[in-house]
Amino acid sequence: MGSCALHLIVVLGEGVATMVTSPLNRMLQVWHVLWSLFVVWSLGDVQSVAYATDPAARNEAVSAAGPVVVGQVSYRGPVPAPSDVPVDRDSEVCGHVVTVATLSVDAATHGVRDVIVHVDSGQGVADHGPVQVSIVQNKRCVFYPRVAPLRVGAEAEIRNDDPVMHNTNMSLHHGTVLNVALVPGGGPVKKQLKRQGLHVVKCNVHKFMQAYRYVFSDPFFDQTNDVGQFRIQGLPPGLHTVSVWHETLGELHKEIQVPPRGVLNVDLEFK
Amino acid sequence: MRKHIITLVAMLIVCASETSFVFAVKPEDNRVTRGKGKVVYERACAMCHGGDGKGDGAAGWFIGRYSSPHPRDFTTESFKFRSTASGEMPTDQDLFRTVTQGIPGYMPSFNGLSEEERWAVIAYVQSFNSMFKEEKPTPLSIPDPPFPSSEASIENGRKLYVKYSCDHCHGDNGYGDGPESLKGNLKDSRGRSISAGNLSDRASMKNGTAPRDIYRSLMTGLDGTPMPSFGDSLQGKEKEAWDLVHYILSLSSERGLLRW
Repeated sequence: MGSCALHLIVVLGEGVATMVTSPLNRMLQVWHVLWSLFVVWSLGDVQSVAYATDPAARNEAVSAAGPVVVGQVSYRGPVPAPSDVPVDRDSEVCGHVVTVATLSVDAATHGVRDVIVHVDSGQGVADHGPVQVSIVQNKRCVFYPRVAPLRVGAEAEIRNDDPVMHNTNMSLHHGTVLNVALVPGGGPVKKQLKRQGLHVVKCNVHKFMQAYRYVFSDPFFDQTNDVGQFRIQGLPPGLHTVSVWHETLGELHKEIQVPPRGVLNVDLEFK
Repeated sequence: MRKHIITLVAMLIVCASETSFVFAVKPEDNRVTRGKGKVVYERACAMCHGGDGKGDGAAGWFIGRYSSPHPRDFTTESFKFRSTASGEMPTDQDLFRTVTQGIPGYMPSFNGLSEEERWAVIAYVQSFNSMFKEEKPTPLSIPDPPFPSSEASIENGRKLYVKYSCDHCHGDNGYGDGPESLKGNLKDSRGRSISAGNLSDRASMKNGTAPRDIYRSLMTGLDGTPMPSFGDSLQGKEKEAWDLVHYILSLSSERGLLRW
């Protein structure tokens, strides 16, 4: 903020000093001053956003609008090294091995990345908002992203960026949600996800390819960041169950009492 | 000449049966219909599909216990033989066709049941899965072959068979002995081993052997198995799709019947 103010003073000073030289210069200087004012205003806004990314400040800011559930999912057990799966076909694209990392734990905080956290509000949400688009990218024989939470009604957009054939076989509770062939150079395939639950995504052509899409009927979910943190807002106050899921660590459930306002901290640990 | 007459008669029979499935109209689905269907189901279907439709009937214990196919679990599993996009429920006509024709090598034809009984049992089977009430399946357009099979069409279909990696599962000659199948990499939606269809044997084509049947299988895929839908890949490529159909049919030993 200080540097911005200094910039404004310099510009204003220059403007006053040269304002008398010519009408054209005067116009340019006025424009410069207005632009600088805009820059200072917008930078100030950016700074306030940056300030809000600080967890404590952010939660304080949001809590004014309603309850917020924040927390961390952690794991202190042994973390297996990523496994190298040998590739037996399409090695010119996939490589000779594909490294599969299913568990990522931050060494300092023990936070687990890519955990899906959901709070069951116990009530359906009629307004689904704008259609959420989830990319399922096939690239170098790996699905990107590996894990993502979605709302019912979201559209899966499946792309094949490889010059080899893939198929994307998405299933839910042993039922096929879609199973589409993706020829090299073909366009994306779009499919609306209409049912809630854990969708397992596989490629039958390359059996080491796997991903997950967790679909919920309400918006009260999040995916943990690199240090295992999550944040869910907009919940109705009351007794709810928070559930977390990780592809190798499994599931945890915990009852929470969401207050009418403020921040509720909920930490969960996989044993 | 005699060969052509036989071919013509066969085509007329196929067309007539296809037409009857398309226009078979399901009666009103109500408690009375489902009650009648339950009686038929317990007599004809429960032995394999189980009393609750979970695919766990007494005979099902022996069929597909360790490998696919196995009796369908109507409560959760997908339906293979549909005219709808991958992931969609089958239409009433799809179910009527399967019940009437059966599945070669696995499920008998129930053509011996009256049409009313077949519709009643379909109504009862649909009551096992709420998705039948929640979703309105839309059949894909399955046209008649726009041009007859020819050497050029079959040759182009052979190239597409390789381009679309059909050989990886079905093998170079369609025997179902592709590398993925031989390695045991193919699994159904429950993780059971499943082998690729033998395209050189008509009896192995569970979804029918007419050109439109093969086209339908390509477009819809066989849900619950590794066989994907090529509907999006072949969209706007009608000629390619039919070339592939002609090539697949040329792999079977009865290829002469389909030269018209």
